[in-house]
Amino acid sequence: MLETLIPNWGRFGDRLISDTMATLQMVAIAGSIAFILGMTFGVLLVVTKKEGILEQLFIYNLLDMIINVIRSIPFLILLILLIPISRAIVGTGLGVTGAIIPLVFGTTPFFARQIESAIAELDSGLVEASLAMGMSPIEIIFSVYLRESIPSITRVTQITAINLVALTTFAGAVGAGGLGDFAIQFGLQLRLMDLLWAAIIIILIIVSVIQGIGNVIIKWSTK
Amino acid sequence: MIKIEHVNKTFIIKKRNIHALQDISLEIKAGEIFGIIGYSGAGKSTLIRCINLLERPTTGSIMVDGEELTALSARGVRQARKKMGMIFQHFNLMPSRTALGNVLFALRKSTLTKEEKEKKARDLLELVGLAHRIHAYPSNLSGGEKQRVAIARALSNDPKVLLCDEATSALDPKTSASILKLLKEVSQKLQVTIVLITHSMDVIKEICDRVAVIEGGQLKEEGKVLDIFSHPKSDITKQFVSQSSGIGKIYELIEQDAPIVALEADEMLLKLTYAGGKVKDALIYHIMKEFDVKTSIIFGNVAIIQHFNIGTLVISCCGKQKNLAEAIAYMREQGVQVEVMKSC
Repeated sequence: MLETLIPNWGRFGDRLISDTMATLQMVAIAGSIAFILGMTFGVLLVVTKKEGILEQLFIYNLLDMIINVIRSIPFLILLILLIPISRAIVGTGLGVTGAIIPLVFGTTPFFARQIESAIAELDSGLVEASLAMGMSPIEIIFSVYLRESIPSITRVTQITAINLVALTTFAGAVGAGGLGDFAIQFGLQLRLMDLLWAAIIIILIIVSVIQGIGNVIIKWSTK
Repeated sequence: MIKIEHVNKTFIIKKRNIHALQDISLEIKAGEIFGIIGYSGAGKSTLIRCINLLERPTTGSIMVDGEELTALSARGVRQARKKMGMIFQHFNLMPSRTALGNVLFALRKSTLTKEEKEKKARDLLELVGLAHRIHAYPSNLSGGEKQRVAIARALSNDPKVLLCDEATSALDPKTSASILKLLKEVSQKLQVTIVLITHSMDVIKEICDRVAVIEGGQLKEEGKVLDIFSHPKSDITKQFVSQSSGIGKIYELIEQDAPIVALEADEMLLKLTYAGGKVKDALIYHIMKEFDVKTSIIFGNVAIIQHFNIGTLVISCCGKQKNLAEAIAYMREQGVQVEVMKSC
């Protein structure tokens, strides 16, 4: 079956599988880290800004600036720029492990901004009501900001995760492999179009799964 | 119960000082329903938010139940806020929680057991008349129902004070009346002191014991609702009262010289205000008969405030100058306030 659909499966099927796994690994690991960091920074942006529940303009301005700077660096350049930092943190600047740090840097600032705007959509009256009930800032962050914006947080997580899948295609530049690298090698250089299409279809499936899971969560959490 | 002393609040907006509140002092007694009325921008929202320190006064003191709030730590303020419930114009219910969930949410830090909390939340929802809707989400509730949930939520920590921020402004008149009735019941049943702000004299008339009128961040007038209605002193209060009785329309008509208020020679337009049912019904008959003054009623309104009636009548009188003057003097003797609105 696979042989007829993908004539070159026999020669390069193993590569396709291992590159798919590399992409999935990068998305899962970098995605999880970026999710937690981005959520933290996004919430920090919301609470420390002017009129925020823990107004700290110094922290806000600092975060704001760092996010803007990192976001303005093109990812391919970020990937190379961060090789020494990757080495220092995870021991190598190459391979899937080496790609994780740049992917986190490439995703977190974008996600933090998305989280900031997702929470900003909330009716400020909800926070006022919670303050009037005598709730502490920590309670408000978890029980109001995060809980009440689950649908919009899910939506921005979908967008960011799909973006992350796109970013992993650059990771070949540091020898991490992945479907992007696979497509360049076999599709562009060897002109094996069946393998190019196979890679595209796998990416489509990954993106659809992300969309599908997100939509289920949005549906479940929107009352 | 609540003592507001010399409270000032200044906002700095674009490097300009905005004096939202200027030297406001008020005392609100335990168990009463106290209304604060003003137009939008008068500072009433800021004032009610000063009572639970959602806005911190720039200077001045806020005492609630014998405790000086402005001196408390952040934690102390949170504790004090738990003893005060608050409801809002736009309800501010948590959309992801059911009616029951919203009440339980306010109870999460209480020392009751899980079962006790659940029972209390159910009891409160029953008190506000929503026993059949406890599992509904806010998006499926009507405005009035949402405000009922908000009231149940605000009462969950047995507050001594309930702050109402334009609680009925977003509701239709019928629903608004039912919410006011509920507030009155709550204040009697649970001995809660209620402070409400509004721009509608009808709300004040309906449930308040005392009222404060504020304009431009200043306290203009304060007193029992009946007194304020029957003898308004400041211009702003007079405006509110006349809007409420509908007499404001007549003033507009006079300004426009409308035919309905056009006068013939020897005719004048009088506004009569009387309070407390001390005026005999035969007043109009009497002036027609005794002073030979032809009288027709152009406008009339009677407001019932705490079992007293306050009447406003606009009449046109036609007669000899001397007779008209005598008629007016007679009516004043009878305890009726007479104002000449227009004369020829």
